Amino acid sequence: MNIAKGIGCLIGIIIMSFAGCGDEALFDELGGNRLTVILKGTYESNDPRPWTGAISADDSIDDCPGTEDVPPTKMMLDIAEMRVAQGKHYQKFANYRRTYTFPLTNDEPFFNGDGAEYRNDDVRPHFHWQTLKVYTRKMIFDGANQYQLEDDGDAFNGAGTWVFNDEVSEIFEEESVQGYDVNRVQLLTYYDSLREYSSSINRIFPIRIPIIDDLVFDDEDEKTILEVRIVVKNFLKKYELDAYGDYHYAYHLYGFSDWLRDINRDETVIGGNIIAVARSYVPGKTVTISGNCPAGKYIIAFSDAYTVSDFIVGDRTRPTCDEPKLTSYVVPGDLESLLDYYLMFESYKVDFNSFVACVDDGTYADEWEAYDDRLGVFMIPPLATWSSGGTYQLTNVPVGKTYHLYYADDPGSPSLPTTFLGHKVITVTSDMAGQTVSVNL
Amino acid sequence: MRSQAVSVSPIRTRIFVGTITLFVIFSFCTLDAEARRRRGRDPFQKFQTGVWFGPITPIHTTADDVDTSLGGGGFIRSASFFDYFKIGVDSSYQYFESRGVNTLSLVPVYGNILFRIPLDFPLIFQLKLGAGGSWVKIRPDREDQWDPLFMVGFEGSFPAGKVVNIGLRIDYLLIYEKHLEGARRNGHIINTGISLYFNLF
Repeated sequence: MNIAKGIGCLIGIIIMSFAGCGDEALFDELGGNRLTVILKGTYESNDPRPWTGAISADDSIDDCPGTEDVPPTKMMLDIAEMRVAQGKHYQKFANYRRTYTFPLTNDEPFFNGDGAEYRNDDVRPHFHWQTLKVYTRKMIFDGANQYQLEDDGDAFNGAGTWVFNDEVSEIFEEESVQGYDVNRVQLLTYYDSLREYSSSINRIFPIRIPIIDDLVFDDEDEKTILEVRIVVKNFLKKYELDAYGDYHYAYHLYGFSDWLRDINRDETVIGGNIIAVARSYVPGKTVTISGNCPAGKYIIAFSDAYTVSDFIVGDRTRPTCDEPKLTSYVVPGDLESLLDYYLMFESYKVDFNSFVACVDDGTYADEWEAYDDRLGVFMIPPLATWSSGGTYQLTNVPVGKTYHLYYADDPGSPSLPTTFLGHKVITVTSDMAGQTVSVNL
Repeated sequence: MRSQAVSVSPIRTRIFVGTITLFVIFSFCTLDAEARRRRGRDPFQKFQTGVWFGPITPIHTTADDVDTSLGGGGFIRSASFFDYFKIGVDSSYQYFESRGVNTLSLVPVYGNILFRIPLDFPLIFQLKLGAGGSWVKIRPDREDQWDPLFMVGFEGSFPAGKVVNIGLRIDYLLIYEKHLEGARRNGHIINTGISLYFNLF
């Protein structure tokens, strides 16, 4: 009887082990992820245009000639995490801090169309994620210098001498590196700083990037790519920021072009010019669209859910009702400079009185709000490429959609295309996956 | 493409529940005369129930995905027809989080055989070997299923009176999935903690 009971116990254990077992490899699923985030620093989604050469100087450089300035050679990026969001609902899916150093070369994957991976977990499946939030801690471009204005020994020539002080340095990856962290001056745009609640505005922690056609993650697909493009390549400019202490200091630094939101002289922020977009696709459920086109053009494509006007920016001219700047400064030990300063200050007072008038009649608020409304909705297209010869190709185009294709003239660096021509339409069905579809523009 | 999840059919559920019931009945049925006589001499040989609580640690490949947490559970044990051997049933709830969004929930349910090391010593040491199943749930995938489980462990305890023993335990749980097509990983968990035994009848 005891033996029978003991054997019964053991049989119970064995049967219990296998009754009701599933057939999914859950620990493999836990350890892996089917969603991959790819970061790119280009306007183009594939085959980007090569670096065009010299980086232009912004008109904010009005004081210091910058005799020691050199072009930047690398970009250092520190990302704290990423989240996906739909309205106020969000999910943390990439809670891993990551730093990158990208040489500003055509071979660097961040700039050659291949992209750099960012570590992430999977997101909630079958949910329409509309926005990607990228929490950037630092964005550093090297080649930044500090100058200071000193007495040139002549008290009556109204001028001083700009002296190179030092290279600007930042802390990156727990080491001191040469460069300027433009993240700190991307926090606000000039418009933000005029607003009543400017202290609560934060444009770079996180950077809110629209996901074109949403991210709907299907966990039955082996792999899904979330491609994130921040326009850096051929979109840099040199700026001057001023500071005052024992001397008048001028910082020459490199940052994102002010093509979208113009930066004027003597302003303290250069934000609102990080232009980015995200899209998703499933490898194996895509096509390549290729064909002939005029040479030296940008080719773009987007789905039926959008129109070309979504990718055309409105009037980028800054409002005329703008706070005047006192642009004169006193050179140490120079009497001529001091007299010039007082004269300029009188002129400034006249300009300021005119400014007060357009503030009081509401023009100031109306113009700046309309300005930000026009620029705030601008997006870059989800698919773009550069055609150097007479042909182009757009890769990883998701199936199951109808696409509108255009080409645009080269606007010149550091600008983005604004006029799109040669409209063509192509419908890509699911059975065309893996094929190359021809569309001539 | 991964295989389709198989939902547990009602028939399999009945088999599973029935087996648990039979196993519990069999465990109680070891209350035969010989066992009663042994228990009269040694309180630790009585029918026992108990609880445990302590750190639960993922190891090996599982440690790459989730972090150490705290867990706890309960058990019942009964003397068997062999000297120094007992039969028990253990269960617990274990929840692991990670730096990212991954979480792992486990509810192991298993039977085990315990061997008491024959030492003439105030402390009681037992080796354990067992098998059973574990309910496994992962997030954010929101997938769950039962998997086979095997365990090996060690316990040390001392009497705090006739009814209560206090001890420490360390168990290794292997949640087996490599029998599944395409699976490359199993689950590996170490349970440690303080145990409280109640020597009943």
